[in-house]
Amino acid sequence: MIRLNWLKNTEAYLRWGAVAAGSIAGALAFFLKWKSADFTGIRQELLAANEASVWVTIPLFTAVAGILTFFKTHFGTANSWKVATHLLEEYRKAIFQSKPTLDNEADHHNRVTLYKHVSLRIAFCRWPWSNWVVPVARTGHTTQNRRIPRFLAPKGEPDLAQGVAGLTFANNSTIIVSKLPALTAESSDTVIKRYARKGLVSETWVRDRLKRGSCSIRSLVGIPIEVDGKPWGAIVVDSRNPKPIIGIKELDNEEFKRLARSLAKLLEN
Amino acid sequence: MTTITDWMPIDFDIASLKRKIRIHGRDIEVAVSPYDIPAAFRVSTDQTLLRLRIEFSYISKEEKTSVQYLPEDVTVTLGNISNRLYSVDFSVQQDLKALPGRIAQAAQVVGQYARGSKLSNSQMVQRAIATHAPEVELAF
Repeated sequence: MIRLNWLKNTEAYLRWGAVAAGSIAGALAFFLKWKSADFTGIRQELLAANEASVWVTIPLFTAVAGILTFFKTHFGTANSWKVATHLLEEYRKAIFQSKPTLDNEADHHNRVTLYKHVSLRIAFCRWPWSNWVVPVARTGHTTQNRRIPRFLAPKGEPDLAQGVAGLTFANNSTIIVSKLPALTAESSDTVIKRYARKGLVSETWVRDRLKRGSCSIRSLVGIPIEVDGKPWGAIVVDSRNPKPIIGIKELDNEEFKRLARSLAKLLEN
Repeated sequence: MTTITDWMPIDFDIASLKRKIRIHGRDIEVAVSPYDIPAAFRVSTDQTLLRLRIEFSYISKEEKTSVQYLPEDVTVTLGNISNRLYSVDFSVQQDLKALPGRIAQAAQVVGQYARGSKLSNSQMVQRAIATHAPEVELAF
């Protein structure tokens, strides 16, 4: 799922959860200042309970505060993902504004998605859970849903990588795919096979996408993204137009340089 | 006396660098990573020691480098993380007529011997030196 969407709500829970857990741990330690033997009634009972359980409660709440802070840092802030999405939007405009468009072509027919490589992906799917590229930001507010595909991208075995995003990351090269055949629910096996072969995905994957009614991409470009000199993920530009999206000269253009530099600064933490 | 030029943009035909590779029996069209393409270069010359140094900058931020000594008195610096070529340093003769040949030789040595450097990046650097040889000569 796109980071920005779920961080809008989760960021506050993570921040306030960490603050609450840290405060509770501090308060429990503070109450040790008083001895239960010096009090009577409910105060004595509460202080005695604190004294008896403090060896577990303080480390527990401190650990919870630490874990929540780790996740908050790990997933970034909603603001930083907003900026990343804006940068992708600018890049999308720069690529497609000079391109001839198809009749009735809408903005969401030409998209840019930022994929991040993760060592471990916890998901309701079969093994392997390790080495995937997952979508973290995408242009257009109408195209950010849970169905954006993830792809396998093993670091040590680039041959096992799948999809344009996976192969771009695994090979650390720009991958260009164009002229994919048009697919419909009635498409023959031959057309589906050709689509899968040219689109660098499996036939099962294509059939699954067709069942969900979303296999309209006709051309793609995957561009590797680096942060601190190391491969970080990939940008995938896709279009419903079968013509090649990007010329090789445009790879090295000012818009990409601006995007790469800004993303590197934004993502280095 | 050492002189150093301003950073100059690198402009060469990268269209020819598109190639096809075969993975799982599928032909895939690939191009060099934009991070491997040097964005600009500058030349520093030492007239006393008779050495010429070409430095390259990339879209990614600078990193720590280490020096590697190559045959034909050519020295390169490689990025410790990315293995990209950040500079090429070589000796030259006082005779200016020999300079074009020496620059071409240095470019060839870089392409052939730079160990650990990314293949696509060393090809880019080799091509950049060859394309911008006149500017390098002018700097000397």
